[in-house]
Amino acid sequence: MITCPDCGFENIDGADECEKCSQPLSPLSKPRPATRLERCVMKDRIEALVPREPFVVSGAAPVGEVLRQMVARSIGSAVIVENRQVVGIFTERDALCRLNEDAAALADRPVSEFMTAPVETVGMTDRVAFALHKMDLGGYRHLPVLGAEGRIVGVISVRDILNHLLAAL
Amino acid sequence: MTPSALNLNGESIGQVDIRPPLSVAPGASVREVLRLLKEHRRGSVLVCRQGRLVGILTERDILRLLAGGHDLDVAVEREMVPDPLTVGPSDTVGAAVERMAENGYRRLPLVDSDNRPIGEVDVEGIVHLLVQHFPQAVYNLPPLASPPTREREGP
Repeated sequence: MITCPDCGFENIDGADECEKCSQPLSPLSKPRPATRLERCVMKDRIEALVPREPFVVSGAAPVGEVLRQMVARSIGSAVIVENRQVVGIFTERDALCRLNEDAAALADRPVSEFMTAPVETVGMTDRVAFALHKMDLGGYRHLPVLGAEGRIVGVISVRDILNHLLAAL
Repeated sequence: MTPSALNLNGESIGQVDIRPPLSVAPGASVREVLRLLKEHRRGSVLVCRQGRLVGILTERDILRLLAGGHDLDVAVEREMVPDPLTVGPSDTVGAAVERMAENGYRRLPLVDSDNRPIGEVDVEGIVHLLVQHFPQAVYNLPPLASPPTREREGP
């Protein structure tokens, strides 16, 4: 039963509007978090994860140099930015699948030839669930976080989300 | 469709999608491992001697090798991480997640009591488990709107 918040009429489950006063009831079917973990996934926004400083390179940067920088910074992804817009991402997985044993021979080629583009992104005010969904669907482990006018402000990884959820348990 | 409460410490590791083990002998070259990983689209390989796990080589190690222009014809045994942290079939999802978080690993080999690999648990599998457990939260994400009152106002 759904009780109409306005007139108190008892409507059947799933009713879109109150049978008596026509007040819309569909917003009442909005999912509510049942557990703390679920609440964390539904309510928290990306900014709560404190996205890490992105490693930004231009598309023309030699891929060998990008690799060296990623190792030096102990990070798994580089975000490729052109004209202040994110155009792609280059991750460990790209290094493994696209460079593989030819890494040394391809070291001087631009990173744009090996990046994943277009790239899925999230905003600072998106929910954690939104990022989780994108990661699960696409099998991504890194998502660039965009701020105003599509500028890159950070990167979140699947481990950031997991650590955040663990902290909430 | 009420979401069941997820108790990570109660769920057995079998609840997570386990990937089949991808293993090589210690004498295999890094080059062979690279080809194998590309072919299977996987991020790590388990190094086994006579069927028993002795090491692991992951994407992160490979990134280092590729960046440094290392000789790819050396035996994987020399570049692998020996005696990696593992999980067993009786461990819980919570234990696996904690082990990953504490050490910054994204994957753990799943081995039996004889240290023979049964599979690999990775962070993608854990995420998938979370998403499946919160279908309402993840798939039916409400738009940004101020919710109406749930209770009747007034006396």
